[in-house]
Amino acid sequence: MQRRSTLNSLGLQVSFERRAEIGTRFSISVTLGMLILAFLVSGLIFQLLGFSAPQIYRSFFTTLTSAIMLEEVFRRSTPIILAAIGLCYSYRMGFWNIGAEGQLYLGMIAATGVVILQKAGIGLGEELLLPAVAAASMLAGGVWSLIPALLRIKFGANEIITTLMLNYTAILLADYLIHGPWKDPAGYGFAQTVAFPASSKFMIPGVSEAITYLMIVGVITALTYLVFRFTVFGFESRVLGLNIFASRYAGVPTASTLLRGVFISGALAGLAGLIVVSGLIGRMRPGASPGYGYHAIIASMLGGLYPPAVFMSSILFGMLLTGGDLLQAGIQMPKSGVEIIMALIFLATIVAEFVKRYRIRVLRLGRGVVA
Amino acid sequence: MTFEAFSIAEAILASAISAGTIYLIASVGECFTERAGVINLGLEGIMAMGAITSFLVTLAYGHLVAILSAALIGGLLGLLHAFLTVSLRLNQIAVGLAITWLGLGLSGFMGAPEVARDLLRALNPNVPSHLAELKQAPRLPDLRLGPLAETPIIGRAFFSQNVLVYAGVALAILLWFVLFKTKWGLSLRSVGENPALADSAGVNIYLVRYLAVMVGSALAGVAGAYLYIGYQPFWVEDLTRSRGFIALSLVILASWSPLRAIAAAYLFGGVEALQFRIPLRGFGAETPQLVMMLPYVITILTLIAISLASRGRIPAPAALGKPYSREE
Repeated sequence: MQRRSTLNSLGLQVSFERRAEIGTRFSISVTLGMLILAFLVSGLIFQLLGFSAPQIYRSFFTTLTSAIMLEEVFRRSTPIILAAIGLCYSYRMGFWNIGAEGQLYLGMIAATGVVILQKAGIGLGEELLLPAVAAASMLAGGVWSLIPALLRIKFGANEIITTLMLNYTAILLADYLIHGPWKDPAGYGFAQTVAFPASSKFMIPGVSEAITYLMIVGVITALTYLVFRFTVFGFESRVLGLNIFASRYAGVPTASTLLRGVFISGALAGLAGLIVVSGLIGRMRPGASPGYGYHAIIASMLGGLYPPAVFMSSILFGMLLTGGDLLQAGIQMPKSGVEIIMALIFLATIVAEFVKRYRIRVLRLGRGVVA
Repeated sequence: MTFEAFSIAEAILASAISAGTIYLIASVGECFTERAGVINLGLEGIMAMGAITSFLVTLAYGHLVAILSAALIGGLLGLLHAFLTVSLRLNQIAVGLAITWLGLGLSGFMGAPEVARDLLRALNPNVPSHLAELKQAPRLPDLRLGPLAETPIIGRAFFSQNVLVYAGVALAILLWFVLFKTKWGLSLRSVGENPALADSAGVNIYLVRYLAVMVGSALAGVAGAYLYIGYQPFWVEDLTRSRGFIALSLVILASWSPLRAIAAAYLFGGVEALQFRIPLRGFGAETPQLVMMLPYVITILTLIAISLASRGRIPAPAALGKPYSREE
């Protein structure tokens, strides 16, 4: 298949030929090449806006040079990995779930609710607190994600708009609870809930917090890889759209496959929310997530919806967030700087799809063309 | 009715029209873009860029230049969108989201006090650059249309607003006329309905789509400028608060007609006006978050209502979202 776009007036013809086969090695090099390009363009933008690009690059590199920094990178990556692996389930079906951020907030809300009940003496007991908060956060995230799925199935409502609207709704609900009924009475007037007790945290004896999280998300990544590879469900969702950039019009998933996949997405985002409130910051606060649910979208697509690659891309994003904190403290770079880099990475991912699919040829029409 | 009820109705109506104009300018432009078969999910980010541009340029050179610059920035982002989706035929959803995130990130960065200060100094060294740190710019003045502005209840809403409010209505009528009463508009709509047929009839699909996306994006930039200098002239992070995405769903509510977009936009302007009025009457005065959910919840309910009313046959342009190429 061939297609042309005409630049005939310039005496040039650009034609795009679809590649018959896309090799894995070629695919990876294109993605890495585009990633480097995204970093170069970000550097250029920062330089133009008055910040030193080399200093910015150095800060990101610094995050890999010490054990303490690496721990922080892994901690920040954890919610992104969970949400991003979850999103793969949605995206493989061509369901544009932009709602991980809201599902993550629902996870935080449910977990906090369970902790508040526990402190009021209504609970399953101290030793069952961790399973209880985990189940509550996953259930809440999953159910929240079913709303846009059902709206799409029953009313054909565009899931991009509904998931975005539900994100704002969830964040406002969290804000309401933090400022209102769930405000910690012993919190010196700060807008925050009670702290999560140690029994609600994931802990493996003798292992640091970051390594504990890495082991948990590693297992979930591996399980997802196996589900995609070897189960009927994985096969069904693969048929529906291996590649979200191309699959929008490729096929419509059956309602039950869609609901199952989207529920898993939401449940994993909910679990990410639990880790944020129980581990990363210890309690619910306004703006508890700096946008992990959005970072996860880009990470899952950068990883091509392939679980091991999604894991690696999420760690890159954890690195960007940690480096961004260093830059904010060091050279007062606004925190949205990291968002610019992430947006450019996303743009690069999309363009990489094009480069992988097509071979570009520039032909000269006729003779005597003056350059 | 008592005098108090009169004045409340008058105030609510006026702020409904005022807030509705943000949606109106953006969704009228998006109607135009989508009629040519391209969906622009970058609206949100383009609005944010229009807003930050208008903030800085208003301080440097005044309102007129600010509005034009916002349109220019919007048009350029539209050019990027069109290049990626029309020429390279990349997925319109993905490209739109990328532009949205780029716009939100860049505008947040440019609005940070230290960056805004430097940018203002670069734009016009004669203006004291600390003005950028105050995050405020002069608001567009209201134009009172003579004695009409004194009309009870509707006077303030319809005849005593700033120039962009009137321009929004004029634009809706103009674009409706272009789309449905001119040969050019017929070509544009044919590109959105059946591009292969339009192509064989000699319409330049690429040119039409580039223009449609750029016009729509330029208007999204102006909508952002209006949001800042016409509605809420104080810069905060996430100023747009998903209004670009709400404008996208209003295009569906307006069934792709710029004229119906006027009603849809003012309706949502009304929702926004209520959102600020309800806490004043007591409910949610301490914690207004539940009331602030209104626009988002109502957007979802609207999508459901549209689906029920149209029995699943939403009259979208047939080729919406699909890239065009002659060979495939």
